[in-house]
Amino acid sequence: MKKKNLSAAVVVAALFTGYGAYDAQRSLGMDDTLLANVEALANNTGESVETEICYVQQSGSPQMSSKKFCDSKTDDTHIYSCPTSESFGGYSELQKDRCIK
Amino acid sequence: MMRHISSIVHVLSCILLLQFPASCGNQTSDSEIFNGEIVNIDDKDVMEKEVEFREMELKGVNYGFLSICDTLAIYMNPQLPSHWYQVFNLKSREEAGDFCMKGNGHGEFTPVVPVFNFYREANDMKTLVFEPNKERASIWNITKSLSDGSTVVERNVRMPWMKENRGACYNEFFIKDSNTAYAKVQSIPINEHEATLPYYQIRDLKSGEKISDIHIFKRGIINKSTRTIPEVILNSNDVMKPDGSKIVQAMIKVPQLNIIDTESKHVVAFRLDYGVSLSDLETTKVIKSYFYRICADDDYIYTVYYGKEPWEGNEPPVINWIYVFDWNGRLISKITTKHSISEMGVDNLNKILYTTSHTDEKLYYIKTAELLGAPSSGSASK
Repeated sequence: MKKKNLSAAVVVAALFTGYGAYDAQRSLGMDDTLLANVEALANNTGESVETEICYVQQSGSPQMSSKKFCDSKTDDTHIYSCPTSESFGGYSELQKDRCIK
Repeated sequence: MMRHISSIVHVLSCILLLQFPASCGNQTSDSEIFNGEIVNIDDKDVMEKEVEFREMELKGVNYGFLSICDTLAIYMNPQLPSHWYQVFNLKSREEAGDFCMKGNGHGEFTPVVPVFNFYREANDMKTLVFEPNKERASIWNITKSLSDGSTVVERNVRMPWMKENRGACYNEFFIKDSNTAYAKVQSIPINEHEATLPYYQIRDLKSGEKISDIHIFKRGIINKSTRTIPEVILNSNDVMKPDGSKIVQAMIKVPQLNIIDTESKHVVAFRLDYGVSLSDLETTKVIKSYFYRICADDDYIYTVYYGKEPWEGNEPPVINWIYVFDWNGRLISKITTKHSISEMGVDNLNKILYTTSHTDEKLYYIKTAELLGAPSSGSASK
């Protein structure tokens, strides 16, 4: 997997050009202002990257299994390359996130 | 006149009777969801008590998913630089070694899952090391590994899941004997609101073939109003009774233990009478988490109980309730600890319960006789 060095705005924009119907707001916890800004930037840059779903890892969670976990540095404005394989860990039942395929 | 009124009443009654079955039919019964009998447990007579564990500091950094095998503590520690498992001798508190080297070469292991249980064969303690990405399980001889100072693997067993289970991996393994393993197939999402059912496969450890299935649930739960992802709703943390006769599932989203007879494959649920049922999961918006961790010896089942809404963020809150059940599903004791509990395991030979805490690197322990025999505080149930 190539790590792409994207700016925060382009990365966030990519999330919404990649998926149309998916309820990204539910999974990423983003507010309306940020969403509006993202859409505006996406229209301006026209750039997109392919993403897939990863699980937010959480220590001490009752839910434990082998999953593809998001990079621990993932936050509201940065996503990273998807893991190449599954690993065992606790995962957040309330959230999944995106990673770059 | 009276005959006229009587006729009207009769017609109205018929209309009501016709309506009643329709409204009843809209309610889901738990028997449509669960593949066995459900027994309600009343906990009103079970007193709560606070118990203070003793503390032990192991001589070495210890972290990860804990398994207890007699006087050994085995951590599956993803933070170790070169190995997957770290073994400590609980009598000396010394590190006995790191095992199962990380890597993709011969004799190395790609990401593994924790060790779930152990079995003895010719006086050697053994377990199964599962590598999901290679669809492979290895028989790890712990006794020989400790005496040799290096990982001794006796053989590998095919454990296919990618095509065979349509992408649903195994997330727990229990070895009944050297020939037989019980592998729990995890629930995976079908869409945003629906997931496949978790169930057990009984697998032959010689041939790597599946022998049969054990189905705990008849159908899944669809809830469009909750933020909880569908694949966790019927999830549980499981443990096998050391004698291999039963597996118990401590469900996370319902205060219920499912006890599976490994021979007959019958399942019986024992549910705490807290007003929460499986069918409630179809409509509840905020689904609480109940049982958090589980371990067992041949006498009792020890569960970590939470009973609240799932927390947001990465830092877990204080979780310090232990509910103890016997193998007939009876609630024996409700215990609070002074420390917050992360992982838990029990030494079936010496009857000692161990826990870790996510607030420090200590190992907390207590003899189970002392845990259960401690006087109650006499406080009322929650």
